[in-house]
Amino acid sequence: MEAEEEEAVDLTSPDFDPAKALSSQAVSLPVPNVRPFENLAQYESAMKGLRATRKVPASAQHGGAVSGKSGSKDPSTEAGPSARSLPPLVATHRKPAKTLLTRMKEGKQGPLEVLRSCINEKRRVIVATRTFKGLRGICTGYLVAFDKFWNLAMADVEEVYHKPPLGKKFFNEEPLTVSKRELAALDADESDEGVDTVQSSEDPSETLERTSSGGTGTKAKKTRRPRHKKQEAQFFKRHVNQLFVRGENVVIVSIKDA
Amino acid sequence: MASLRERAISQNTLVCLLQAIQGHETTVELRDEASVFGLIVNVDAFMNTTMKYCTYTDHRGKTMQFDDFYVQGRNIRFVQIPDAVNMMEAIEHQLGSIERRRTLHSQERKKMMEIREERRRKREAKSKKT
Repeated sequence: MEAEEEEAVDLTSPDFDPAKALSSQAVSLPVPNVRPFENLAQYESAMKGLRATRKVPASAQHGGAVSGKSGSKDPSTEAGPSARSLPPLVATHRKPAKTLLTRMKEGKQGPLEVLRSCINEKRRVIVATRTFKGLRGICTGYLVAFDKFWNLAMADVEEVYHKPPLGKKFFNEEPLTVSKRELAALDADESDEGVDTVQSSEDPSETLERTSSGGTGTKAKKTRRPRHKKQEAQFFKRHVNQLFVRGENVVIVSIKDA
Repeated sequence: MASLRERAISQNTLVCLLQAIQGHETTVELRDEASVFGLIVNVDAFMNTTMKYCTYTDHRGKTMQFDDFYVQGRNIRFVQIPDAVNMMEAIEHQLGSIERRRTLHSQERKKMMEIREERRRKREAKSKKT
């Protein structure tokens, strides 16, 4: 009688009775240090994984011996002594983590792919940035890195921007647009000739070198124009060697050399 | 230290570039046309930045000195990266250090789980005896 019961509880014997084993206290494991699964689903997925990768004929032997509350059964025990060489069944293997760099290289269709091609082909891009109302300026430079928020890391950046007027004037100001005019202003700036404002077209009377507080090789050239009754938007131009642009402020990115 | 979520964010976005320039002096330009020049102490995953020894220049060009300065991430428009930093290398280095911290963390967790498991077993053994 007792021997029979032991047989029923012994995992390796052919008379193994899982129902009895579940209720019995005297189950001894062939492999004592196995880690119990937490639920059936975990067991199932582990077995599937095993079958897919190792092709262990697991279903041949396990007679419904799933981990119960006693936490004593593990599928690896049925596989016999070779179980030790199997990988741990609890998912410990990790995929290499996705990082910024892998994401940048990912071949996804869409606008971000264009950014990637700009990096690979070392093309200059024009990035329009915004204030909380309308356009603020245009940065031209080489793209180094980007992410899904359109945060951009740029190198050799030439920025043309205007400071929005303060107070009520701000709200009466004519909105800037990324129009041909704006781009013309940019080109004019590049050839270091006159700076074009949106509303007036006089030549700049004086240029000042403004030492920016940044000690990072930033030079800002300020073009002042004689004061008008209507004070127009002033354009500034500066060069930054390496610039990080927060994606929130990006309006549009276009390829310059295209 | 940063939570798992924060770490995932900085690992997957360009925030890691900003974290890589911690300890450098640079200029952070804000959305309200102001700019802050100073030593970057810490940048978290939401780009919130703590700085030291700062010169704050407001939109009119008036400057003020601050020993400590905190910029909320959303207020940032530009961050000038110092010339001494190679951006790509800095990113790679920073990602590496994040990854190292991650594995360290998971190892610690594994150890903790083992200890917990052992305690559980002991407790069970005790209860069986009594």
